[in-house]
Amino acid sequence: MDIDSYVECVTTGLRLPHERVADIGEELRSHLEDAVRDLQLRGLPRAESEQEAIRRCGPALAIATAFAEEERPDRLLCRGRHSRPVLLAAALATALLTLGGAAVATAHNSPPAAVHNIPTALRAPLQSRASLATSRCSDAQAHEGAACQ
Amino acid sequence: MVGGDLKRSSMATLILTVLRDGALHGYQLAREIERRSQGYFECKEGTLYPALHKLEREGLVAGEWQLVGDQRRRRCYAITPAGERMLAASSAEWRTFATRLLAMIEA
Repeated sequence: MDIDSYVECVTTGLRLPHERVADIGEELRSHLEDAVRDLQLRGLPRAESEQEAIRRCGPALAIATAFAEEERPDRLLCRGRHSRPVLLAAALATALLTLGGAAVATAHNSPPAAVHNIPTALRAPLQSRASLATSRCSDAQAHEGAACQ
Repeated sequence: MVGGDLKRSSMATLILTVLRDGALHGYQLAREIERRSQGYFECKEGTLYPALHKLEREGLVAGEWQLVGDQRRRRCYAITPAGERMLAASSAEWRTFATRLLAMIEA
């Protein structure tokens, strides 16, 4: 993962005003650039310096979660730009199904799993949007292992 | 074994302690905490920023953007008078905590 992807991974899911998210991204990027420059001065090549700087920064989602918690506990971290509509749609479908006798209690925390209990007509678009929402960072995590958890 | 929770709960005190000696940006702050604690308080550096922003929102530190060359900016943090007061109180609390705990352990 490069610095741009890492910073995007931290900032993408933050439910904060746009200016705040931009500032957080800029500050984090600046930190990483300082770290890379330091490491290069110690003889590490650029690519390895970037990886080491990112490793020292810690898992991107842990940072994003910490920001979400510090800013306002009720501003839950969502892992993508499309997560909120997905959660709302899943919650609505869950409520409808619950009224009809189906129990889908986990919809809020795990939308992809929750859609298994949703009728086929609703399932496909929900799965598609949930996938869109989480694919970028989870792909990065799969690629980078512990770097983005 | 002393867990991460204790270290995490000391983060604000660590930050304020280091900033008491002068304003720093986040990367310098991470290095300084690591240096002064001889690596004991080495943390995942990215987690410093949520803590710094919280301290800033509480008025305990003041952040200011500074230009680095032509293209880049860094946010520099300085302790405020409220931060100094908070540091004095939390230092006293940590001293009491450590003293009482050691007294219990060594009794």
